[in-house]
Amino acid sequence: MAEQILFIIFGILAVGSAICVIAFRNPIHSALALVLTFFSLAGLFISLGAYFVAAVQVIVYAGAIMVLFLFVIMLLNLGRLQTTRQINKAKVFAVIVGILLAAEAIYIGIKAYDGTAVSPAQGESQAVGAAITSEQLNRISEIESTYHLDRTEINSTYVPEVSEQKSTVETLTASEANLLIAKLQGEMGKPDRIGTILFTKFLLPFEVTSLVLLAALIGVIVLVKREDTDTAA
Amino acid sequence: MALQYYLILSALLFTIGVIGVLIRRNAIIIFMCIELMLNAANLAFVAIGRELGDASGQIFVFFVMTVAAAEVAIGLAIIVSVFRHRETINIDEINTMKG
Amino acid sequence: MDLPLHVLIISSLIKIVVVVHLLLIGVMAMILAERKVSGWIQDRHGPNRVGPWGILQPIADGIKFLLKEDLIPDHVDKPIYLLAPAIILVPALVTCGVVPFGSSITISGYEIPLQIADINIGVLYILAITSLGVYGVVLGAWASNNKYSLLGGLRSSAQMISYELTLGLSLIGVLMLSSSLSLRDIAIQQGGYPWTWNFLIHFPAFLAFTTAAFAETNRLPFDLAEAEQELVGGYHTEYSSMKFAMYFMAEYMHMIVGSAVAVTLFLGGWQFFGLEKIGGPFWSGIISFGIFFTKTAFFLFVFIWVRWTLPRFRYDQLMNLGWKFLLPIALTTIVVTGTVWAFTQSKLLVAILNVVAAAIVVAIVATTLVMTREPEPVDDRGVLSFTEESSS
Repeated sequence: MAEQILFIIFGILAVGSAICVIAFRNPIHSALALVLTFFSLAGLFISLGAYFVAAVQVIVYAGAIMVLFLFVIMLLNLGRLQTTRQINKAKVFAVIVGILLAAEAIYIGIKAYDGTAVSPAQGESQAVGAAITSEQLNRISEIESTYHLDRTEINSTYVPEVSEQKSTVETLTASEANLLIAKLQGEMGKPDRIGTILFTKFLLPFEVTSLVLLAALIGVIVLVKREDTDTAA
Repeated sequence: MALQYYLILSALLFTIGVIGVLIRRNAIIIFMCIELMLNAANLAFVAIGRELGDASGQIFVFFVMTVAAAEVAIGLAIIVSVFRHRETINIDEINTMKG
Repeated sequence: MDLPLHVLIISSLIKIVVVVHLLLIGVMAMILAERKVSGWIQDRHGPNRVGPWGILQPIADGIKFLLKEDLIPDHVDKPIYLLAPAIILVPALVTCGVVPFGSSITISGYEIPLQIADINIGVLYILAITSLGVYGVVLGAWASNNKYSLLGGLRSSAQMISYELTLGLSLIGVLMLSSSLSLRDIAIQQGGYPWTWNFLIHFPAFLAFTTAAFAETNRLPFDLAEAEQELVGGYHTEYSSMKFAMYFMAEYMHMIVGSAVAVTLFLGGWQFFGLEKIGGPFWSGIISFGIFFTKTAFFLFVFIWVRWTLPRFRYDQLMNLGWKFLLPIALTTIVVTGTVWAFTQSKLLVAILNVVAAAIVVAIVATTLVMTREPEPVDDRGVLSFTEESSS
């Protein structure tokens, strides 16, 4: 329920402010609308349980990238540039293409994903009281290896939350195992879980990203630096 | 909340970004629209990642953000240096390679 | 800790109301304290006409702000001009939502933590919200449509981006050792004794964090965005009456919240020699709040003290300090803390090596700066010529 409400509020905010980004004539107003879009996306991330990503979204996009945009707009004093508003054929064409693209993307979003890949937590119904299946055990050990969790830790902290009397995964029933899997997956947005797989499974991409940032840093300095240092701005 | 709704929202945001790139002539606004498109993709990543019970979706968002930050820095630097040469950032007037 | 829903909602509402009012009262107290302390530092009386010892001065100030003409100049960008003062107040207010201002109070069997929300990304939340503070300044500056304001806004945005980096990076060492992003966990882990608090273990990071926090509040010696001698009033030149008062209040709120965060992260939060455990389940909560309050008040005093002691930085000095000293120090603490912690798990060693490494870095940077410094421009009569020097 809470997720639906959050989705509706932030969804409408996101789309509305995104339209404002392309509709406002003044770049500063557009930039502000974009900040609002980023905010509503952060809200959507929270409703999806991705807390870490939501925080990083605000820090990186709203706190750094958009301030940079504002800085450049103010530096070049673009807010004062008068842009003429003309509706030509190209623009009409662009809007038509856009609407077609949206229709296509929405169609794919609805149709191409038929829900077969739904996680075991929401999978087919099992008989009440049936024992835990091997599939579920596999899934749990998969989660364990991804997040470097310990079976004893799961047994001591997560299993009692699902079923109070039990203390080992193997004794759970199938429906309780589903709850356990859902609970373990719900933890994945937490920063420590993200950090664990970022520094194990994705270590190489992470290191490569730092090279990308370094390249950007050097590139910017080369681009903006003027030849004569006296008039450096 | 079903995945479809998130995908539709993501598609809408992406399309708004595309339309913005097509109809606006101001290089900075076009740049903002590209950011918007990246964010639409991020939303799809997180939503699908949640559906599959896999945090890799969130890791990808993390990488997209890093690359976006680098891209913004470079892009704005290009815009600033173009503005210094031409006194405009209207992309209709910046259509020659010669400075 | 699991409270029933109705208790949770009621207690949260009460906490929100109390915290917001405490902040507003805190702002009033700060206005008075600033004037009194500055008077004391400059060897004069300070306000002493309104009420006994001048303690009603903030109220007089408030009435004056309210009754002044609320002027909206013709040339401003009206929607943003009106929005900007609100934008600067909001981050200051919402940040205190995650700051633990005491241990917990037990009322009729329910243990209520003295914190509005203990979220598992507390530190990230604070960094995210502080990074929004710059919008109020930049937008107000731009919307005023005034050269001086715009210059102030440009300075402010560059300054905030530079110092935010330090603010975030200086916390990494603390987070590494606490392995939690929840402010409550970080505060509890530091224990009650001053020598186990984070400011000793991460002393260079503490200095860097405090300096960056000063810069984030836009106060002397970092008030380049305002700089009344150069830019009239900087970003708030065109603001008057309550809109100016909102900028004014936001500055003090940022100070209070910044001090509270620093106390939580580096000074052990509400703990002091086990004093917070005295008394029953009710009074220990009150005492712990008192301890927290005292520490924050001390920090705020340092804020005022620094403001009335140091002159304003020049712009290039500001950028040098941020990028060439504070940022390397923050990065060094990350490397040192991480390496030492991975091998020895000794907090003492972390503390010592952090200071040593930071000292080495500062020495290297300072030597490089001195070596590469260009000679002062001297004209043929041997007089320093102060030419306009545009800084990068």
